[in-house]
Amino acid sequence: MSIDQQHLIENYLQREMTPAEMASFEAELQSNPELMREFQMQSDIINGLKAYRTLELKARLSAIEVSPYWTPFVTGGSGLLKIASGVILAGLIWGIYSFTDKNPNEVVENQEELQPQELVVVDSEKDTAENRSSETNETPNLENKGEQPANQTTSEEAKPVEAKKVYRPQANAPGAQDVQDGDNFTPDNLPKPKEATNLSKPTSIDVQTVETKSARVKYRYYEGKLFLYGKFENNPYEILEINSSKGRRVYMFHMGAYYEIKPTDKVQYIEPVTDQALIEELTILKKTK
Amino acid sequence: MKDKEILELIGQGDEKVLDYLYKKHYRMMVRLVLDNSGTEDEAKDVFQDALVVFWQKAASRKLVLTSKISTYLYSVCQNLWRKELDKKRRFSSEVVDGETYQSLEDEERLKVVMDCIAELGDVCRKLLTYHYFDGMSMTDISKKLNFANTDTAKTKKYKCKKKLDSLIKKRYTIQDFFDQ
Repeated sequence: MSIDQQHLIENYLQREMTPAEMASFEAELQSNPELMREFQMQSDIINGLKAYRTLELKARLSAIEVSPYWTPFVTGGSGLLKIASGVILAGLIWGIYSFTDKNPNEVVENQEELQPQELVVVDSEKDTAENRSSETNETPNLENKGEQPANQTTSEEAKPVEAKKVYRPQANAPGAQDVQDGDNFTPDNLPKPKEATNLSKPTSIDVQTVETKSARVKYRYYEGKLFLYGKFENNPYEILEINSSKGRRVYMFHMGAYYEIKPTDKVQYIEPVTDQALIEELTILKKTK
Repeated sequence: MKDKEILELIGQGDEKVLDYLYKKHYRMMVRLVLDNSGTEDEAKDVFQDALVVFWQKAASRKLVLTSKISTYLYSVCQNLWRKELDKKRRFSSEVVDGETYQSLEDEERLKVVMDCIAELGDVCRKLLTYHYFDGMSMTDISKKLNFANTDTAKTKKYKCKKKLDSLIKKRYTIQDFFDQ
């Protein structure tokens, strides 16, 4: 195979030819079996590189933490149901507010009974009727709700409890148009790979496979049971476990790539591992298994 | 961040911009899918695919935007989700489109290639994927990977590609590849 022919193949595959050049190349392909073989292999290589990069980029995006989109009042159901749900929610919030308003200290005393939806955040700085009324009219977005753990209130027992904010879920979550440039943009917050301290073998996970038509693997992993959905008949998989001080991590090797398996009771697509250090670690584990 | 600035950074291969776009438009794209019979997981998948499409076009600096990036991404998501819904409808009526799935031979060949790519060094893997998938220019690649100049990047790319070819050829004979 000459260098010129390799250039031709690459230019054709990268669509860097004029229509006339393409036609001429295609004609040559038909009459030259050696060129055709090389062409097929180069085509596979370029497709492989593209697939690899796609998986890499998608894995990067999957690692980004985004607050889940809160759906019950946004999608599905009839308008009447939405209104009814809204009324119930409003009643619930009013009830909590009335209850806490009568005896603010009870908010602290009864913290353990509160559900996450009934999140009450104690503000020890302000105590005016004006503040209280303006605060209860706020409709903060769901991200605020998620960032305020319920146990914050329990840690404030020693402080005087003076004013309250009642956070409620919002019916219409903000869209991208509501997000200012730079909001929540903290790429440095991307999760970093953790150091493994102990490699365990063999796996103790109960694995069940379900053959599907799609080559793309989905999984569900909970209570030590792993369900894999995909085409495994001709493409065997391997389950790998890494035990570290932060707990057990489970991975799967399939079709030449490693995938991370996180506990979930929902069927979801499996995500490839892209961190090179982890891949090397898993390769060692796989070889020594 | 302005759209022009985003395109320029993507052209330089700055992947942090991808994170920024993902966070910024996540809710809007998820809402699109949720409002059209999808789940949040499906929405994530579709939005990630749309961003990868956008990334690929922008990284090669071939993208000429006639609208805002958000509008572009929204329409790509819409198209991808429509296709996904079509696929679901076809499955529910038990009509399987043979072209939807890769053949076994294709999958095996892809597995070989993916294995060999994983065996390459970090620089080679980046260089080849930036060139063949992102379509980045050798000038941008040489800057991103800190090569002395564009010629060094070209030479390195040639060597890396040769190494990958050789890995693949070593692992499988021509017969394995083409005797189908």
